[in-house]
Amino acid sequence: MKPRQPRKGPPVPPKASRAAAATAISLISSPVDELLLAALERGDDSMETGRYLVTFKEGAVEEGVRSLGPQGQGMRVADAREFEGQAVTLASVGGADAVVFPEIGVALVSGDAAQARGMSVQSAIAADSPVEAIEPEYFFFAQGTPGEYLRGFAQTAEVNTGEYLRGFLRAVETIARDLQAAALPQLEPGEEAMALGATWGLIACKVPPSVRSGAAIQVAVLDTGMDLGHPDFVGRPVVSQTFVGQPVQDLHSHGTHCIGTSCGPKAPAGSTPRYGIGFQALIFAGKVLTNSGSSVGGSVLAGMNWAIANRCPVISMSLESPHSPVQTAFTNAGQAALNKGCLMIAAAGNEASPTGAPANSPTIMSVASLDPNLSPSSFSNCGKIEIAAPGRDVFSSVPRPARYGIKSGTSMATPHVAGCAALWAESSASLRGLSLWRKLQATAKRLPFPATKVGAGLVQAP
Amino acid sequence: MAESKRWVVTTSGDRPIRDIAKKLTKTGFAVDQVFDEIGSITGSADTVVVEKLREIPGVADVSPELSFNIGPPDAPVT
Repeated sequence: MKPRQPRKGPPVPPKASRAAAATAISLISSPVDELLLAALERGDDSMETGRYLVTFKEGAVEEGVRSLGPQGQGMRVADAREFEGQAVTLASVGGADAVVFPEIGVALVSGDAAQARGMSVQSAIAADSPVEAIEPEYFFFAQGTPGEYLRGFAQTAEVNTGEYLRGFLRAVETIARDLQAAALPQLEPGEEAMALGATWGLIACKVPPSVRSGAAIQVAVLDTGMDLGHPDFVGRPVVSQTFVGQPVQDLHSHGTHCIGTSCGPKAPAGSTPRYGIGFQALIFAGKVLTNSGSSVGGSVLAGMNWAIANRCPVISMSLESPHSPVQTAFTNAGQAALNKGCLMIAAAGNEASPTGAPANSPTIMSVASLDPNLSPSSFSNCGKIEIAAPGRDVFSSVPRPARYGIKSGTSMATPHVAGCAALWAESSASLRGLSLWRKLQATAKRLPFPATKVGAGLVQAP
Repeated sequence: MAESKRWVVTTSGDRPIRDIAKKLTKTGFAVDQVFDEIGSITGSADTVVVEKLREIPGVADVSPELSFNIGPPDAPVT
């Protein structure tokens, strides 16, 4: 049978192979770390857990549940409706072969129950079956999980999936240890920010006490575009332009996140903490990265050219071509910017290696990432670094419907510098180009780390 | 014939960029975009042509166009 299009289910990693699932023995109640260990032991790079997700046809959930149960496949089926508020914890279903989630029309089936019944992703599905699709369940790694998980991941993400799983496993152990030792509740970054009224990054940069707002300062953010309908930016003037042939509307999230940090509101609605710096800055959203996050030099140059032509005093670029030597074109562009009273600020990169292009150009300000303890982030590139800023666990805006999210990287550090640069630029019309560069460095908070890691130190608002 | 690739030409700034773009075209460079604010020109050519481009007065550098990738939306580090 032809593979069916999944109707509902988890995001499917692009390179996932389905080959290894057949050998999996994975119980419904197996903890994630056991599943990960099993995946490691079978040398499985597919990201499959060994369990299966069975999606039922619309309106056929009850029939589907029966087809798995005693009258059908003879599985021991747990139903989410048997749990308070349908909040199932998989560890609590004991020896069940399957758990049914009626609200989404999906059942999770254990690897050995499926195997014993010859169920696999290759199984033929009869036309009158209540089942629409059988797919592997994949490991799903939440974005923005704080603490050791990301640290473990960051060290291994570049290597391969096996390494990735090993890194994750280490992190799972750490989290488990933390949870067991959790005499004091630990706040997640979002919660912590809520308690303080602003994100850790803004507090570290002394943004909340600043009287500056970036008023009338044009801040260009060359990225994946922006969610132009984000409720936190209603009424804000936004000039936008695409250089990649796709609408500016951000379907990635990176651009909206970076614009949030550099130009987000002073007081977002509800209990959302302040996460934006230049809340009265004029936003220039240049889309130079596609919705998949990729780009070529020509698009980036086109965005730089546009930002300079518009005389944006601050040009923020959270992008990097790893391991690239200095590019003359970027160096010249940086010089052109400085000559015209503009300052280009770029991410150093996240490979824990020498700064990549365009931040390695001497005319472009290179930004390293700091952790909440103000030490350099493990992933942050080094060498040619002018300044450092918060880049780990950064809370900011993302496109609707999520609206807010946490990201890590020198990409997140860069808009902290851009936002502070907008505040400084507002404070004096003489602070433009190279004088703005020097002011940012002169006022940075010194840190006890080499300049090759943190440059002049932690960027500070005026 | 050598394979055509994408290049970024950086100009030295001492001549009008439009004049340089014309010379590049005459030499066999398929000009894509001219960025007068930053003095660079993108386009494509094979390596034989590129060697000739480097001889043109006002051309400071010819380098392969870079690629960029910030990863997917859920990349843990970006």
